[in-house]
Amino acid sequence: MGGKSISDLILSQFSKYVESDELFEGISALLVSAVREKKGATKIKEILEKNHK
Amino acid sequence: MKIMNLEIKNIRGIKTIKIQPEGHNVVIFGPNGAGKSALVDAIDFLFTGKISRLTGEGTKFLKLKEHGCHVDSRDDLKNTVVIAKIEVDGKNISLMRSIHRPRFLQVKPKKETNLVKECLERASFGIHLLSRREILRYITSEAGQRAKAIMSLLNLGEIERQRSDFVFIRNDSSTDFKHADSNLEKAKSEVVNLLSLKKFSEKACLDKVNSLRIILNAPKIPTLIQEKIKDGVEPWPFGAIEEVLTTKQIENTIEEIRNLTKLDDIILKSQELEGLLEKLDKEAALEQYISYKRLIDEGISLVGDKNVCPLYGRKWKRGSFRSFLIEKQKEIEIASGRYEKIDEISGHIKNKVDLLKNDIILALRAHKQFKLEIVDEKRAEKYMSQLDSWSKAMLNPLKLHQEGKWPRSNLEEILSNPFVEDAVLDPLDHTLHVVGPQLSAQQIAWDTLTKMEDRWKTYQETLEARKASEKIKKMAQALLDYFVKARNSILSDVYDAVEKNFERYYKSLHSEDESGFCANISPKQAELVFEVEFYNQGMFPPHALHSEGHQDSMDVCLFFALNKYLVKEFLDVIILDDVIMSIDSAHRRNICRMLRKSFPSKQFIITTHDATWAKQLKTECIVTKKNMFHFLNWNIDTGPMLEMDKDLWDKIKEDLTNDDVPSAAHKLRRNAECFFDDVCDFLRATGLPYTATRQWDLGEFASAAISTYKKYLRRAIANAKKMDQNEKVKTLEELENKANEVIKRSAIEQWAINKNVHYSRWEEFHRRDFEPVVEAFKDLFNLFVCSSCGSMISHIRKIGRKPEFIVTCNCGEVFWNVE
Repeated sequence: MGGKSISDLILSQFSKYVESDELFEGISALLVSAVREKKGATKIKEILEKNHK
Repeated sequence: MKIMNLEIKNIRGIKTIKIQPEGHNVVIFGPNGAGKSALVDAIDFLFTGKISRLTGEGTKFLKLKEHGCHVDSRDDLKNTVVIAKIEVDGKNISLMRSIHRPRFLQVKPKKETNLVKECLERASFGIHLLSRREILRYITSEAGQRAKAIMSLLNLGEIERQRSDFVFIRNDSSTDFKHADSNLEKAKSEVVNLLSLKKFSEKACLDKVNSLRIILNAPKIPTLIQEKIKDGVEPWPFGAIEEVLTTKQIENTIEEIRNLTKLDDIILKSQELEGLLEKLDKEAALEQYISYKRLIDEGISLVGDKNVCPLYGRKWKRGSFRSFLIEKQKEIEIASGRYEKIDEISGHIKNKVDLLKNDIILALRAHKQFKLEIVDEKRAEKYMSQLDSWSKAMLNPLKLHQEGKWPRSNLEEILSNPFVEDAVLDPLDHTLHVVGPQLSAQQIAWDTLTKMEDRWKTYQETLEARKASEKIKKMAQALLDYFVKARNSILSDVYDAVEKNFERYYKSLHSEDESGFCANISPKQAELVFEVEFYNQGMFPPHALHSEGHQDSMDVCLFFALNKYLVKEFLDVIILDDVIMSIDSAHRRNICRMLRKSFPSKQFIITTHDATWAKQLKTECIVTKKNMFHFLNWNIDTGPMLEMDKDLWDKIKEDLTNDDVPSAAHKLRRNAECFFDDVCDFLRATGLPYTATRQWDLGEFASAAISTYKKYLRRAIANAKKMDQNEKVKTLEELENKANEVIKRSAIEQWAINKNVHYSRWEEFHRRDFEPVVEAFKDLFNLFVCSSCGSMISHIRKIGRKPEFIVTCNCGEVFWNVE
């Protein structure tokens, strides 16, 4: 699939960036899966708010 | 997936039509209004359940059920169907779709439904069909519109939605942070006000608290903790109630309001802010580059002097790549600096405005405490709402400025409003002077420490909230940056692949005049840049300098480049609906070669109103005679009349059988002229006399074609002898003898034609006199056509280690070295 594969490629590259940043240590998997599952802005922000320490 | 049979009933202008392409290319030609596009619409409908022509801009009132069927069938939609037999991976499958239930595609055998769906998913992008409408979408459209059209083809809507989510989170977090920062400043200000400090610091607070504790005979405390503030202090019997403001607090409030309203730096900062916002409005593209910062920094260290992009390994086509990156790096630094400055200044203004708001509220409370009735409540409300609008605007100044929602009231006017001094501060000053100090030092110390417990708790909570908010803001910005970086990096690869194919296809069409052609297709913010090189003069938009014909070529090439990337091997059908209009004959031939070489497994369905282009497609072996369909004489009751394209010699034979010599002679003359025109073109014949009109007659074409043919044949024999290719020499010499005989015979017959240059005299010929003329020309024609593949022989430059000139056919059976 042209479009789907582009979307997948972008998300996979995005995951690599997030996982390699110490800022997201411990929550990168949670964030990436929320993005992949299209949970939306509110859910992603909620993850940041609950796990910012 | 290819179409084997197609049957259309009551769709658009078609009543009923059946064709059997058997997986091969199809050409439909005929005048405008003959119903060609209705056939395209029917295939489009079969694949997608929609008709592209009835969707998009300007089609608001067009509906599939009303306008997709034949006008006579609007009440009988069950009978408006497209039926096809298709072949996918060697499997024969039947498809049927009716306008009655457009979303339902009947697939037989049913078990192949998923296979068909997978193929037709590509058709839902719309990349199987190129019509005049798409030319407007890709080539001549504005960058933003083009980006939308291509992004929709690439199915990038979801990606854009996710980016919007990250932008929302970033903006929301930034707003939260500004609130948290403002709350902290407010909490500090209240502590400063309560303790009558000049400036906030935790140490100053501790010192002040300890000095108050000493007044109350309590020991000093080492650290300032809410619970310890009154630890060891004896309760003072006349403790004040929290709501009552002390004289000192009111004095401090008055002083702070005066300081805040006299702050020239807020005015200067608000002017600086507006200046920065106006600059960024004009340079919206800079935002994009910020996400590239690290990439560009790395790029500069890697590129060296090679002028090759280290990421893509391709040569930079526009000057020095290193200089380009350095220039971009400077722009990024400037842009980043501006964004940071805007954030800093707006945060500063917001804090000051919020403090002023808070102090005015305290001052008005003092008014009530002293039972003063001087302040006009409406004026006070208006003043507070002006401060509010600035406080809110400072949360997201860039967005509000871009949307034209900047606060109406000028900040300088608000701060210098006489209402503050005359109606709020002066009466309070006067009252304080009259009332004088009322409370003892111990009472004030006790009251202050009591209030300090709450103030300090609020300060510590807001401090924690600000820290948390700052981290969330940083994370939100990082998420957006990473997403944009990932998107740009992947899309650049996609656009790079499309760009490479586009360049390759275009060069194959225009190798003679634009062999150094290059293009740039790249995303820039929400737009898609599309520039092409114009004869070594630099990069320009495709419709800026190139001719209509070249733009048509670009359109075809971009369409094929996108099709190649998106459709891959899943959908083999490509429809070209009357698109090659402004391209000249020579370049059309190159298009035929491109279709044959680059898309050998595709099934093209080509419609055209241009009979010459249709004929060229046949001459170039893109389509066989069997799959040429001539649409003509459309009328509302019958739809188009369909005529199979008959062989010329069959048509002449039919005329002669009917003793219609004038018709036969007309056909021979007309077709011979066109045929030798093509031969001259294919063999790059020399010897045509110069004419300003560039028009020649049959005699001139035939003479040039035959002399060039003989010349090449002689060269081929000589070269074969040099190479000791005895068998080839023998074959070519036999061909030369045969050619001489045919040419000689046709030259005799040519006499008949020469004598009757104006063929009207042929009307006097008897059928038996004309038949040998026809036979001679038939043999003569066959000299220029390969007996194996049926294509016309052509003179080409063979590219290899040592380029050489050859005469060859499509299948390679004819191969003469004519160097």
